Amino acid sequence: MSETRSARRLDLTGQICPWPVVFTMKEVKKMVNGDVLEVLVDHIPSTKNIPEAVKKEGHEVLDSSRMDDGVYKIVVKINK
Amino acid sequence: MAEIEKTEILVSVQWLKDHLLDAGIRILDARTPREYMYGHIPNAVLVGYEHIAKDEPNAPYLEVIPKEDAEKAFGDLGIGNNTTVIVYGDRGGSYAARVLWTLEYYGAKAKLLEAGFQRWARDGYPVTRDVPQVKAREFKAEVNSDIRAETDYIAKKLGDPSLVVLDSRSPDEYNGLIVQTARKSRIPGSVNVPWDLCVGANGMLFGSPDALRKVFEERGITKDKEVATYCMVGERAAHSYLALRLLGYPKAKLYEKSFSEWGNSPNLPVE
Repeated sequence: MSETRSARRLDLTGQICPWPVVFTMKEVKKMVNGDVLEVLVDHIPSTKNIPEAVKKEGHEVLDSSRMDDGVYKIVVKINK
Repeated sequence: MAEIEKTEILVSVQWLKDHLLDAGIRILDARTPREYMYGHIPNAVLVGYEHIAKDEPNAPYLEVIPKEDAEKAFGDLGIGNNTTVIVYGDRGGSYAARVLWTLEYYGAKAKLLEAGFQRWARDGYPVTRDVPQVKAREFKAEVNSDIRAETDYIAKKLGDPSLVVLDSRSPDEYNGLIVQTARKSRIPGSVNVPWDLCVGANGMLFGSPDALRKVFEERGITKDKEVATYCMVGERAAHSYLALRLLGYPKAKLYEKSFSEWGNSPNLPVE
């Protein structure tokens, strides 16, 4: 069983291509195995691009869901 | 702006202000639900990806909505075949451009507001939080395939000097320093024209015709060429596509699935 070390939230609402992915991956680089990153976006294509980009590097997408006001929450567990 | 306003693509803020209540107009707000909720142009309704893209959760790309679904979605937005649709956006207008391209692709009469919402509001034009009642209309789509570049078409014409493949992404994406796909960096032979070079100043969605012309001609992209634009998901490239249209390029097309398809397809070449 892997350990969840800490959780961080990154609010990227208002950002458009390519910045949601760029800022997410920059944050992911700083994190260690077991950390959890919660990303908030309101740019719909980013709800596809961010999961694709983090999975490509071996991280796990725990959740991707739409909240009430059209903001999406993407939860990533870091695997390093 | 005078030259651009004569085209059939843009409308001025003053024109829209004077026609806000016209029965034959449908105004579409191409921003986020949160932005719409905080304030929008009177009589505008929100247009989301559910109205313009295929519902395919596992695909990495956003393909154009199928014809029958488009007819239903546009009709539900109150768009009929005789409706004049005015789309507005913000953040440079890339998503609004994608919405406009989709409407054009299915034969709707559509135009883009020349300025973004923030400029509209800053200049004191009317803003409301009231959500209008929308009466559904019947919309029959007629596909305008000339403005869409499909994957196979581009793949077959690679290396043909009559086709320019225009990459609207940032130089770092084009050069493979920012990678969002299984493979990097770009479609072979593509020319990098970052989309924001065509965005205007002070909240205008496009630069002046002279500025736009310089951007393309300096890179050897001339009107005699067929130009297929792409980016990551077909938003920035839609803006570039419209910039070309504003200048009268007759053979501009959008590859709407863009590099999120191409860069994740092992059978397609990259460089």
